[in-house]
Amino acid sequence: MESQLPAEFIVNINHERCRKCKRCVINCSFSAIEFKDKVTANNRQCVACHRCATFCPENAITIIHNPLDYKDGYNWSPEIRKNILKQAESGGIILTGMGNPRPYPIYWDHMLIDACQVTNPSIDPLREPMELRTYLGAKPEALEFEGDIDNISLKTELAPQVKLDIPIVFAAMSYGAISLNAHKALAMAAKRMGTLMNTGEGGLHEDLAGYTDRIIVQVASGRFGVTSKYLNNSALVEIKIGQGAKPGIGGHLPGEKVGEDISKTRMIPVGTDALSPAPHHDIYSIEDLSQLIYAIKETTDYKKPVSVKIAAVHNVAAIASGIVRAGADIVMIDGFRGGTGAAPMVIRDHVGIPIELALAAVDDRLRQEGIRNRASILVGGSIRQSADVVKAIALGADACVIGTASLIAMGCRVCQKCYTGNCAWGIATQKPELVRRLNPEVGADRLCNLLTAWGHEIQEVLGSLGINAIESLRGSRERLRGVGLSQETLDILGIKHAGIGQ
Amino acid sequence: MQEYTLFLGCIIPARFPFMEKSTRLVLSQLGCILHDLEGATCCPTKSIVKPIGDLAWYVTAARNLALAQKTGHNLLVPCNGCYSTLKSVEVEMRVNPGIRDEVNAILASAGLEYTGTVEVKHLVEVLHDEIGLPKIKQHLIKSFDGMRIAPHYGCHMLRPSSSITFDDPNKPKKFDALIEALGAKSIDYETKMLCCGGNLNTADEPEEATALARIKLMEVTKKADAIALTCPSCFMQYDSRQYMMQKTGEKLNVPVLFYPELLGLAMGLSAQELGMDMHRIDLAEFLSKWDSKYKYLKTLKEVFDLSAIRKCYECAACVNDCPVVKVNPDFNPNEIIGRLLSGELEAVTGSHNIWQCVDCYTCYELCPQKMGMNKIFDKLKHMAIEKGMGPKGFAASIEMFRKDGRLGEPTSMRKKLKLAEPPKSGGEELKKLLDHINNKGEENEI
Ligand code: SF4
Ligand code: SF4
Ligand code: SF4
Ligand code: SF4
Ligand code: SF4
Repeated sequence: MESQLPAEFIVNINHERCRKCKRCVINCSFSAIEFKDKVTANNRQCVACHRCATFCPENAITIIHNPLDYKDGYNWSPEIRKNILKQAESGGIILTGMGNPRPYPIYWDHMLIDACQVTNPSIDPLREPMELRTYLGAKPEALEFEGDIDNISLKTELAPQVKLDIPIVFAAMSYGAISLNAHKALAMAAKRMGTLMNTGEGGLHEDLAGYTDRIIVQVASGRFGVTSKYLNNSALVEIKIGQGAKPGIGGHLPGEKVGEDISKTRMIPVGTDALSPAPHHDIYSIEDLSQLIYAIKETTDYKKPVSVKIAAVHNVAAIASGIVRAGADIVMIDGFRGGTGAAPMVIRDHVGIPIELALAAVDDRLRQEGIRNRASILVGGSIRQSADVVKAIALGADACVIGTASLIAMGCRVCQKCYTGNCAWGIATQKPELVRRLNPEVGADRLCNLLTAWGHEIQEVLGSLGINAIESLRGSRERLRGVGLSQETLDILGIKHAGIGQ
Repeated sequence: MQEYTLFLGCIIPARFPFMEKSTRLVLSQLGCILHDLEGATCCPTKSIVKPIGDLAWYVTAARNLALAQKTGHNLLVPCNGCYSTLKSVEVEMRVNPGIRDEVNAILASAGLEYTGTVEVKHLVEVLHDEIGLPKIKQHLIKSFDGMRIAPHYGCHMLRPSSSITFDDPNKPKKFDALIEALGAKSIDYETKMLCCGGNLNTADEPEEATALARIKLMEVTKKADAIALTCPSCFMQYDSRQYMMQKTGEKLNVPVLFYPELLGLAMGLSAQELGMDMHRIDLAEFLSKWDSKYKYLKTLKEVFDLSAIRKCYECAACVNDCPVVKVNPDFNPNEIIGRLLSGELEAVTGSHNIWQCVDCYTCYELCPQKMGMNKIFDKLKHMAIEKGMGPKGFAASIEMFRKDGRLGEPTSMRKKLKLAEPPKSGGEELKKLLDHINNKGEENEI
């Protein structure tokens, strides 16, 4: 059937500047540029990944939105109309990548942070020590000590803890969804920065063996690559129940992407589709979940904290409470803006709830039930900047996870074409000629720079708040104020409206 | 398991039974069950039967459809002409109840009725949409990698789009995709969508029919190794008529392949099994070219990352900036790649050019795939050394390195400059390690 869809972008080539070096042609992994006597664009193929424009030595390329105007319609927006055309031509589910791009309210941008003035001195982070480290894992109800004041030691036995030098962890992204070079960059950066990366559900490639104390290994419904060695070669183990970008549905890595290396890592035959079922077929209740948690604890000799990751959904607080009571040491909540390598657009854009509200609800519920100490809370799902981290911690999180932001740091242009396997930046692809484009060393440097920069910014904010440790901020909702939020939202977030004092 | 009723039409059984043979062979390997259509007649051919009268045309086609309906399976049609006719009537009978009732009233006297429960599918449609490229690729045994094939769709595979909608009528893609699934390059060429001209024969215009066929053949002979198609009428134009042209001295040498033959070859079937010796245009040259290409690329793949090298051949990003090109315009890295791909590995390894790369890594830095020519030259130089080739100075340096582990001895100049004794050479120890590699016969490349 002939496609009626207009091109989304136009590739403009300034032929006066172009010196016909063809660099753009090979850089474009979406076949949108050809060379026929001169550089010629095939606009319909362009996804605005900016690879060509970045590497053109003459700056001869600009990518613009196709200025084709649509008859106005707030309700029948061009996007909605284009999606209908797509489906009328394909008869299929619309697949997409990255996080929810729709204009739902972003609550982070409606919360403002306090600062000290006059009565309570602020601290200068350049002169005073400022702690960003925190520990993940269950904390005891109370501490008991032995010995006397000169020779004191802890009597209470602590549950296993994982130390983070900065309260920002790299989100779960599997080898398969992203390239091995991207995985290496994340692992190297996690090690250098004293934080963690997460294998996602794809198993652990042998090249990452040297980083195991900095790696969260995931056990997902497909159980790819899960062995007792895998579980023990880790900083902590995460059971993945759900993902913010696609709550309630499983995963699918198409067979074409399952080459030799991925097949070994996932322990499935070359060329077979890697299907993660929607549910874990052995988990239908909190009791079942508890069994898996303890099976993992047994396997790892009670030396690793066990985390359970869920998507933020309507009943998230009650679910989180069940998870903590089932024995999890960490609850990871992934908001509805979380990224993905591939998801049906209808799920990504319409299912789940915002992380800000989910976090506030979970933290509240666990406090009310007196079990907040039994688990750390990790949150993710579009943490975009250091301010989001500060606000999340003030709302009650122990630390944040970043996925999309870490990919952007490595070069991702959020073109949302991860599901095609053609990522021009060598991130969401398994094609060797594209994977080579991402140098793990450079990727790691860029990731470290991002975390270092955010770390400094968080220290600046802590200083202005007059506190010298990130742990002192956790759950201090009094230090946040809402702007432009309804009373009900403010109640859920547990914060006052701006203008209200103590 | 997919099941179809095979509609062969008139030309295939009458003139090209090998087409039936290859169709049956490959479809059964792909797990399809084919049923025969007892009592079938001409589809009927539009250009001959329609002028007799509309109703005769409809009734003949609808009778075939009604018979197919009795088998309970969709019709699979490997002939463009039959497909276009049957599909048009199928659609007409579905969207136009007036015609349906009139035709069915006549069919009733033979105890037949077509209610639209089975559909007409083109062979390309079935292979691409129902069997699918991944499944076809799983059956590949000997790829056509490196071969250039010109796809000929043929008008009636795609038109009229009032009833045929499985691909774009003017810019189709699916047949190209089927060819590329076999590893070949499906070339884009100017006369790609040009009609074969077969119907001009019916108008008693064999000269014009030949002229049309010639236009395409002339282009393809320059640009591709063969033409691939799926229609016996088109085949007649390009194979039989080309043969006649040859007899009058016009040697175009374009092998013409029925797609199931190409597929069968790639699946490991022999040309004899497929009945391909019945073509008029000789295929021997094509087949031996394919065979040697296959063998050559296999060796090349063992040494080089073929997909990367191919990208290089299309690219030139590093060529202009290579410092050697500035002083020696004959040093053309791209041309070397072209020669490598076209089968000249040996000649390239022996050529002096490969030693001119000064390992400056300029190309690596500019390379969109972060490979760089220098990597290719490294491999070529290694291969040359293994064969005892290479510039003279080079051999002397290697000899020196093997002996002392250094490329130069400290001289008395040092004393003049009051420099202390140089650190001792570790040449002995290094020699042992290198001997270790040699003795163990370890692969000297990582
Ligand atoms: S897809 Fe990317 S590289 Fe290709 S033309 Fe568009 S912006 Fe350029
Ligand atoms: S990269 Fe820029 S200068 Fe080079 S061919 Fe493309 S448009 Fe022209
Ligand atoms: S990872 Fe690659 S494909 Fe995915 S959005 Fe980023 S640039 Fe695009
Ligand atoms: S080495 Fe890289 S830059 Fe040079 S021709 Fe090959 S692909 Fe292009
Ligand atoms: S490394 Fe060799 S081929 Fe590449 S730019 Fe330098 S001299 Fe030219």
